[in-house]
Amino acid sequence: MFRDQLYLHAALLTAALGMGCLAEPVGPVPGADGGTGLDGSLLGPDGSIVLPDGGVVENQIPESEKARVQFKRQRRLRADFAAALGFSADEVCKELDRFDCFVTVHNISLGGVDAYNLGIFEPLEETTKTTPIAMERIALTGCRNRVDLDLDTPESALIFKNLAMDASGGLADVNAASVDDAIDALYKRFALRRANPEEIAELRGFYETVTASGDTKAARSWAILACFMVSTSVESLFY
Amino acid sequence: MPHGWMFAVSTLLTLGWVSIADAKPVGPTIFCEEYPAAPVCQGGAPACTFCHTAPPDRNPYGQTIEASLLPGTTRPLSTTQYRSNLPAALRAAERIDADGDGFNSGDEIAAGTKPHDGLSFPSTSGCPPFRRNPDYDVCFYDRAYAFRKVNLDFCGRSPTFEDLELFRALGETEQETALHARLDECLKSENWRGKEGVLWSLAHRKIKPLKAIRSGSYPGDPAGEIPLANYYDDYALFVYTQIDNNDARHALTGDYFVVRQGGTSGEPTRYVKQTNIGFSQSVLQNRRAGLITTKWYLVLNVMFTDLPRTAAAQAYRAFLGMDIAKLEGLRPVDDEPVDYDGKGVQAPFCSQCHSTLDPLTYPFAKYHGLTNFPFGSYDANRQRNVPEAGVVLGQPVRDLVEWAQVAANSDEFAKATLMDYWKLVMGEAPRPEELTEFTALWRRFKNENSHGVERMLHDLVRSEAYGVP
Repeated sequence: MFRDQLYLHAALLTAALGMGCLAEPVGPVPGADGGTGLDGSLLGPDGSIVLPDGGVVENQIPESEKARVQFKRQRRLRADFAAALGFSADEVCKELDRFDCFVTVHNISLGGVDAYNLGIFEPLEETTKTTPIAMERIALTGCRNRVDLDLDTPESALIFKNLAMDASGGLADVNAASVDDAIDALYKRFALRRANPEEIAELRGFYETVTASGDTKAARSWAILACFMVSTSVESLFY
Repeated sequence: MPHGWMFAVSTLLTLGWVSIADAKPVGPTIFCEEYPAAPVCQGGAPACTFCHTAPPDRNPYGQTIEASLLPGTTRPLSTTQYRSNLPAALRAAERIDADGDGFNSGDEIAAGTKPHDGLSFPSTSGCPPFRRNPDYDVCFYDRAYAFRKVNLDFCGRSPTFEDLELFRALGETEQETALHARLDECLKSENWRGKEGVLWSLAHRKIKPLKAIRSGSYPGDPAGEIPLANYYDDYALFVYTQIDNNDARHALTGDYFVVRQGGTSGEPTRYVKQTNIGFSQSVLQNRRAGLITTKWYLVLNVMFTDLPRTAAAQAYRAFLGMDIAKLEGLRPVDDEPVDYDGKGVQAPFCSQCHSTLDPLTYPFAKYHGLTNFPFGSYDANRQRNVPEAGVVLGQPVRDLVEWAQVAANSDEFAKATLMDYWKLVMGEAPRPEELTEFTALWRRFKNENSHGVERMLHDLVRSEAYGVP
């Protein structure tokens, strides 16, 4: 339903990834306050490069030459999703409530091996066509379980704390500090950094899309999908 | 075991088919004599595929050499003609951009890129940058990035946000200390050294387990349907050689076994060295050579074979990083192959590989696979027409124990060991611009680090390749 709103496309497409693009520049940057850059170039107040002839090269954050980004793969994903969602590793996701998503069902497509029975001694060099599907199912399942726990037992909520809801199951105030805190918690847990203002605004704005769909439990749906978006981001699935 | 015969024969056929009639295995050696400083020559000669596609067919770079090599002279050239004139042909070819990527072959050889591959060319972008990236310190060693990566690579999980913030708040020296302290913690973790841990997984390719024929029953883990040998002994020995800075060469030279203990109910896994290990192993101590004389290795790779080429090729591939089936590590021995088992390997098409593979194999011929119960044992009288002496890496050896010592002390072993870990943490082989650092690391592993893997891993984490995003 909300597929076009999601960041899924970013999750497994690493080829063109420049790591410098992962987040907008924030905070003080060496050399950005005028003076000289690291190579001795004159810099303008915004970090732009002032050429000897007076021309200006627009301010640019350098990108990685290597762009060496690896899919976390099965074991690390299992550990990281468990830690981020506050579950033990075998609680994160089970297909049919019985079979561990990481270890049993989607093992190979998530970059695991099956040395003893199938003779797959090393992870496949490339992810498979089913890798994004498996990852989406796991993220959606894990997020749904966390959101249900947080909303059903708010006194022990881990990520979605103190979310005020109206009688229809919607958020009482999408601009409430508790919404910002939840978004920030998602970024801290999955991306190991604070959410920046643009990211908070984007996820707040996404609530409108959810309510416009006529969802009767808009707060829950928004929370699940916000969690889904962050947990399937490049920063969460790759390193 | 019909399956075993098929496996052995198919391997033999594979090796035979990729053997070459006209290519010259001396080519890589001459190339490195001409370009001793080339990154591709550090720690060994390039594979035949540096100039060939499927020999004798040449790739674009090989074609430019061919064009300059005694043009007009009748083919095939004699070895003398080839040896004498190849250096000049190499020099002529280096001025040509064989793969059309904008760089001539000489520049590509110096940079360590592939002169036959248009997608492989020297880096043109420059560091340092105009200014620093506030999130990832590209072009510089980024300790926070390395800290996060160490946690994932070795502990198997990300640090928490709070953990990372605490790390960022430290000074430069404290960060360096904390980074390596975390690495030490991770190297003690179950994720690293436990059953199914990272080291265990690293051993799969070397041990090639098969549950259906594993012996030994454990709670919840019964023996296979046709129990022949227990590969858990092999995993324990391998992990032992990789931890606590034990000598990694013992993977090939160990004359002992290792028992795995603990690892359940929160108890850490321990590995205990033992001289003997009951009835699960058959080779007597003076004939042991680490993982290549375990019962599992011999059962799987020798099986019923008279001349177990598969056993030699697997050892070469798993521990020295060279796959003869891919024309890697060819070091032809004069007057070889003799063809003791009458397989026709003297045919020109086959002998290019078998002149290396067969003398590599002879020492294995004295070990039983499945031909003598209780399997996997040494027998000086096995294959009496085959000599026990052989040749590995160009060096004559009297038996498999000496074979293993030569192999374990070689540059190739050090390079292959580092390559295992490099690929583990980088996700790929070294890039051309990283070959100098790669070479320095395996040399340190072999010398200053006394073949201690954990010391090598600290060096690896300190490297620019690891810590520069």
